[in-house]
Amino acid sequence: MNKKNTICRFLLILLLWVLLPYPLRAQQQIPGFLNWLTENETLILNSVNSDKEILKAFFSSPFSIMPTMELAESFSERKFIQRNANIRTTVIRLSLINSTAARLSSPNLLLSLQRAMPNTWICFSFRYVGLVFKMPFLPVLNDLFYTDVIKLSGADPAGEATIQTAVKTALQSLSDQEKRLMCKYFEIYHALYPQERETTSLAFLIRNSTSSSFASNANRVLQFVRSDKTSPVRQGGDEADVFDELLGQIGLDDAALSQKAEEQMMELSPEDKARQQELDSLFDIFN
Amino acid sequence: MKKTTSSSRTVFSILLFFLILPSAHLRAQFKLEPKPLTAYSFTFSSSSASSFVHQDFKDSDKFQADNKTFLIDVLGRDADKILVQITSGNKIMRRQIKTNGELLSSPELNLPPFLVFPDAPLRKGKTIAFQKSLDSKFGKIPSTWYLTLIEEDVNLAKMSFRAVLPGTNTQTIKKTYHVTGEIAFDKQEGMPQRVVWKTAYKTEFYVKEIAVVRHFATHTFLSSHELTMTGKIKR
Repeated sequence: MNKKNTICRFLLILLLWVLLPYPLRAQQQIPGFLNWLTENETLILNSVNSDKEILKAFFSSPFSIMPTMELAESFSERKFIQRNANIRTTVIRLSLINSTAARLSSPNLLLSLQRAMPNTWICFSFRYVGLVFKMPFLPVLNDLFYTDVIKLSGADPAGEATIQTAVKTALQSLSDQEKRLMCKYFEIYHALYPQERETTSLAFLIRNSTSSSFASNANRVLQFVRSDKTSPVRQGGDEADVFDELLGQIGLDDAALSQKAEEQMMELSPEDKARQQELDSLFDIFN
Repeated sequence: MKKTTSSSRTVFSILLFFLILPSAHLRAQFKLEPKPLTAYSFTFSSSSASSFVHQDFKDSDKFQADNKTFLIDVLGRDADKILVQITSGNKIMRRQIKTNGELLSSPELNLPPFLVFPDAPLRKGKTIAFQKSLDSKFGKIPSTWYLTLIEEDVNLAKMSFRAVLPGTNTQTIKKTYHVTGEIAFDKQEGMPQRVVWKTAYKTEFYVKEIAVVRHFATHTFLSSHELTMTGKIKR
């Protein structure tokens, strides 16, 4: 019996250990403003419903000779629920955009990503050997790299091209009155919790999203991340602008590099030259 | 002299008789006295309207429920106890009630506190108050009912009633309930002929900041009900 209990307890603890982190993690993701809004809404609807129940219980039939009747219920609060649901969805979208903008707004991020591109560093390493343009696995590597970058940045590959358009699309689902209501909610929330900077940053995002200079760094990163699969950067084949830019940064131009490569080829023994030509012809099959 | 005294006494007593008779009649008690082996049919209609004011928005909604009919069969009567069978749609239920309207027994659960006619005779214009409480899932809710006789003749008596429920008045929630109604009581049949009642409920919600209390939303719910006797069938 004791053994059974111990096993049951162990299983229960194991189950809780597995299951509990999920709701906790999910809860952590909900911004404080949404918690506050949902809490208020729940409080109001709960109160309204319980009061209707009381009214129904008391006054559905005042005489013992009549059966209990259903209360004719009208739901004016439906629109309030719908409006709050719209605001909640928009706030979630705006929070995601805001966090994406904040994450991608580092001025050095684009440069770091460009340097880390497989086609860049592989090209860079093998430029002298002359194999780089024929490497068939380079596009695959690039795709993998892009997938990882999208995952890490949290950017939606099918999403809007810029932060401005993303904010505009998110706000499209709200009417002007609803937008004003949302801003009023932000005001109330800010007055209640002045230390919480979430709503102020969202208000800042809405206010500044119309300016083209807003989040320009993030926009450039988004453009880079969402670049088309067929684009030369993504293909990793030809001399990309990025590559030239990088070479320029380290003080080597393309002509100087080609000359250096030719010099290196001249230095190769006849056997090595033959091997190189063989390899070149082998890669020609793939191309 | 004696003759004058006796005649004056007779006149006085006749006058007194005519004076007392209607007043005694008007001060009669109201009791449910449906005739046994008789079925009374009633129609019930109800509608409601509500509004929700929230910041700059004002939403409103109306609902008119379908009219419902039900039949009250008086199965028997014993002193001040009446056994009735209520047929409403597919539901058939039996209740034993007292003539003042108090419920004695019923198989149904969660029944509302019913209006009870006072044992003391009602006077025109005088209000009688009585307490009723409801055991609900929200706890025991007390209520005070007021019944007033408005006017009365040989066949019909008009009464008004209202009920007061304890509201809430805190910094964040303010609630008020109002219930008013009128009863046209058929004295010959000992049954209400027409009952109209309205309920009004208003809740105001506030958001309390550190020093400021801001209005957040106001919900108002109004419902009106009408019960009319539509016929009588002898079984």
